[in-house]
Amino acid sequence: MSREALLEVNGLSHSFGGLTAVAELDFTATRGQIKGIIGPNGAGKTTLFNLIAGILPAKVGTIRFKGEIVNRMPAHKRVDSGMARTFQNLQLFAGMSVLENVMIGCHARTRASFLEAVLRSPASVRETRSVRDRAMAALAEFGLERLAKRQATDISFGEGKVVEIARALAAEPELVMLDEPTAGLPHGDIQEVATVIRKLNDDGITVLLVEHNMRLVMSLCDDILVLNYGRRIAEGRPEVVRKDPEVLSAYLGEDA
Amino acid sequence: MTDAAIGAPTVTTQEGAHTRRMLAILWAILLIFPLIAPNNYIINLAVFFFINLILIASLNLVIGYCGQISLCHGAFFGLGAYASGVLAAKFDVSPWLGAVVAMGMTGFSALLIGLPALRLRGHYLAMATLGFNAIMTVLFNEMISLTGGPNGLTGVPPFSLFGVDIVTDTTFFYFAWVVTGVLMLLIYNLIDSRFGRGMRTLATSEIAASSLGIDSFRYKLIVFVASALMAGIAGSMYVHFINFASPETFSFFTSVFLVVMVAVGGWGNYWGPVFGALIYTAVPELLRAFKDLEIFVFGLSMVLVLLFFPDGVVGGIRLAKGWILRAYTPKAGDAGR
Ligand SMILES: Nc1ncnc2c1ncn2[C@@H]1O[C@H](COP(=O)(O)OP(=O)(O)O)[C@@H](O)[C@H]1O
Ligand SMILES: [Mg+2]
Repeated sequence: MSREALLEVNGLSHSFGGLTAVAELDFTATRGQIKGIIGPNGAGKTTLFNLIAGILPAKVGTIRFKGEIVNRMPAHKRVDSGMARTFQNLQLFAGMSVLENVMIGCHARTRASFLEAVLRSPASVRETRSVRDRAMAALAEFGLERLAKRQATDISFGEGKVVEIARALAAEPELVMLDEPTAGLPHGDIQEVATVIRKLNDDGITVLLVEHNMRLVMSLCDDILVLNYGRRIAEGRPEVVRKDPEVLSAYLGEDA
Repeated sequence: MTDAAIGAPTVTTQEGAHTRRMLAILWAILLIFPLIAPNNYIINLAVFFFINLILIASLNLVIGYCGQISLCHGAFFGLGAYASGVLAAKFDVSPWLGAVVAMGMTGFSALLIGLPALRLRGHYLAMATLGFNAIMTVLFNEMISLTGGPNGLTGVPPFSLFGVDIVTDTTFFYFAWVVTGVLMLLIYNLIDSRFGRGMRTLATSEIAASSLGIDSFRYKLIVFVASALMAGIAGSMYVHFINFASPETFSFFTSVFLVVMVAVGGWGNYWGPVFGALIYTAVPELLRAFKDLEIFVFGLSMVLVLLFFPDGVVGGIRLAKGWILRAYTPKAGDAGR
């Protein structure tokens, strides 16, 4: 496994009005890593994802992806360059089937234009056909073929979380950011998600994992970043982080 | 139908083939409509149905699929009508060429409005388009030497093909049948494509869309311009059909009615505009004896739809189909007799 830095964050800060959600954060995710990001509710984990993905503007500090500073790169271009994510609160597209939602992911890597679409060019038709097959295969990998035709708004929260992972992976990312992927899942399915994360990482995808299930985090992650009030309070290997006194005190009184 | 024959156990393509087949059947039925229509008045109404369908289906792309409220579709319709009509009536330009110029003008004005307004989130497009419709209404009224002002533009010649004027209700019916059929097919092609799926994400969440690589601004701008082009085509058809144009036809009220009809038909649904256009064409005729009742009826229907049928007529039909199916499905006990 190479030690090349895929994502480098330096001096990153973000505040909402007077509230500092991310403060002077430095960290690196190297290629091939599963990096856990943990911390109590409100620690700034989702805000950090939004900054990296380009949903929130990163005004203080730098975000480097594959060596290039991406602070001013629009969110959709960051997907082109190899980022994908899921959302803590589901963001599946309404008015579309589950299959079509995953097809949207595949389309991040296809190119048919507006004119080709309107004129139904052979290339556009071929593209739709192959994307549909790929999306179906992606759903099958998660054992979700049975949901393919269902409306995305008609499935359960837990199913939606998994569909979002399938959709993000369909975009063929190099870095995937998973925001609490097992929240709302029945106990039996959590292990399945863990297997999925392990497998996509084996395929070479770097993972940033925000997760409250400590067993999962400790067993999956190569490296863990702990946030509290937007600041890094610890970083390192799971066995080191779990014994860190500051981490223990941050979690005291937390239900996690 | 070739799609289904390819054999993959697919979802969207089967549905795609199904929808195309439905469209073909509907258009085949419409083909014989002039033969069974009791009189010319009904055929004339059918021409307006086609024109209204183009208007509502094109507006549905912006409102239903991109989730943007546009309040100037009437103005694009009017710009298409006046550009095409004035060129033909005052400058002897061929109506065909005029129609192309009209499309260029509507598309270009949509670009000018969309470039600043669509960059911003929220209701900026609604505001900007509201202003644009007001400006266009003033221009239609005040540029009297060109438009004829409030008295209307007269002397607009018809389209002619191979030296034959498309003047009778029946010939124009077939002309509109072709144009509208082609546009409806192109719209479906769009929906069932990479671009169309990207476009359809925007009504849910632009944040999620951008997190899947979709440049929402670019998508909205292209759809807004394409939709204006189609309204321009509808305008050309209108003015060369009735050979006349008057400013109030393209007022702010028209724009609002068209939005209402998108909602009443069922926004974001491919078939919604068919129902919207049927209602928009038929209701004013039925209420002709009662002045201004039509505004009341359209206003009331908007409120009722929003309250009880958020998915419009199409959603209502789906609900009814569900009830009927359930009512007529034999219970497990009955089946085994
Ligand atoms: N859009 C927003 N506007 C204002 N405050 C926000 C917004 N999003 C998050 N916050 C605040 O920023 C802090 C960090 O939130 P978040 O990143 O969601 O935390 P986490 O994902 O770690 O639970 C919280 O105090 C939260 O209330
Ligand atoms: Mg969060």
